[in-house]
Amino acid sequence: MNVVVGVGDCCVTSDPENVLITYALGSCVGLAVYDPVAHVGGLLHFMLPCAPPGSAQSGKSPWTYADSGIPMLFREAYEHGAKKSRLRVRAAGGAQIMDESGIFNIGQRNCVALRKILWKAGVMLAAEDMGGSQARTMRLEIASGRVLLRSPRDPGEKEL
Amino acid sequence: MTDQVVEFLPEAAQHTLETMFFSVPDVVSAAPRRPAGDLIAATLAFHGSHHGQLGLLVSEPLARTFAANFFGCDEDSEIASGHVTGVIAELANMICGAALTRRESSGAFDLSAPRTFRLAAAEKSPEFTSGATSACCLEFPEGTLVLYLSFGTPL
Amino acid sequence: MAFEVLIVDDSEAMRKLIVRVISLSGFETGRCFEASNGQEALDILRSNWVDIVLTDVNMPVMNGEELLECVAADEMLRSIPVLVVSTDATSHRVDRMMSLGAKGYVAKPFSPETLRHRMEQLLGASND
Repeated sequence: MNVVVGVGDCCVTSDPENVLITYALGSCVGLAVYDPVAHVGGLLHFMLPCAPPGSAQSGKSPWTYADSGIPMLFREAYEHGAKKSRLRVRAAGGAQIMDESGIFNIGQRNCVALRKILWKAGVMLAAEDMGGSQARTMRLEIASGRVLLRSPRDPGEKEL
Repeated sequence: MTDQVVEFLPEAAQHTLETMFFSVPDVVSAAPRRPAGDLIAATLAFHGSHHGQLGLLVSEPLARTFAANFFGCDEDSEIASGHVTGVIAELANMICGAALTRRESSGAFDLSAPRTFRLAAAEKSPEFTSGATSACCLEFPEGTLVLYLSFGTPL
Repeated sequence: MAFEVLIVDDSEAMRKLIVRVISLSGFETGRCFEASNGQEALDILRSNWVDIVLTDVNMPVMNGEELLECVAADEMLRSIPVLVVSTDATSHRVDRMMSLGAKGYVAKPFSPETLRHRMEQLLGASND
């Protein structure tokens, strides 16, 4: 069963029937974590690098930001039985897409924020497909742990 | 020929800062200005197909942020000042090497060991800040990093 | 089997970073030796078992090129894979270091994943 993870959202599950899928990874980044022993997987779709002060009170979802969303993703995975040492972490997105203000570098900032947070947490990426100029669709199969990507200009899906 | 190194300097600096210091500047300009407050300075010489010197000035708070990011520590963790200057020395080394590699992709160069020193706010600017062939100023929320590139006999 | 690693770089900061990358990479590592120049590296190599050497190029006392020449000339050391980690990624330098027997080259600045990948290639090849 496809479970859609929206923009600024996250899902963690151990249901092997689930396939977590997120669309329109332009400047946003999709981060997938998977524990192959516990069969726990999570997919986060974050939009911006840092939560501004007071964002918790403004009602913006913490999943919107890398610095709040990524630690929460890992914590939820642990609560579902995942172990840090077993987690396979993969990321996609962070493309140079023109945003509303015409500044091109939100994607780049998102990628840098992701790498900084993972480095400080002592986690390395197992695989990545970041940057470029194309939006991506990313899905994580909970039964197998496979992460598959699709983008408009490339035919078919590729496994990350 | 020297113009090409000049244009590679901001590109090399940004690539280095993103890749190993996880920092993206808010503003990049070619207009140097001495950062406010106490600073850390670094210089190193290069020789080979061209010879010269790279000089660097960085605000102390920004230097501590770079060090925390480089080592993967929290920003409020205590990092010994010797380790901070060691990180800034390596930053200067990598920016210089990356800029020269971009220019000299089929040439050759050697780099001297970087020299670092602290500069109080009231102290005179180092000699490398005047007469540089090119300068590059990168602004971050925590402070400013300024790079000076000179060709000719190192000071 | 745990790998014994030798890191050669005159920057203590860089050595500390590389040690951290190795510890996070999932390699089964034993000791991580450190040297600040080629001469210190040779002293370590001649008195310890080392499975892989990561070396900078520009260093005082003895640089990375001189170190590689010594390693290549020593029949007890020449089979140890050497990975060069340097800011100098000009084709001149890369060709020179590979011709002296280096098995891989990583340009600084590098991501942790890039260093891990290159080490996997060398350690995997040395097990074949």
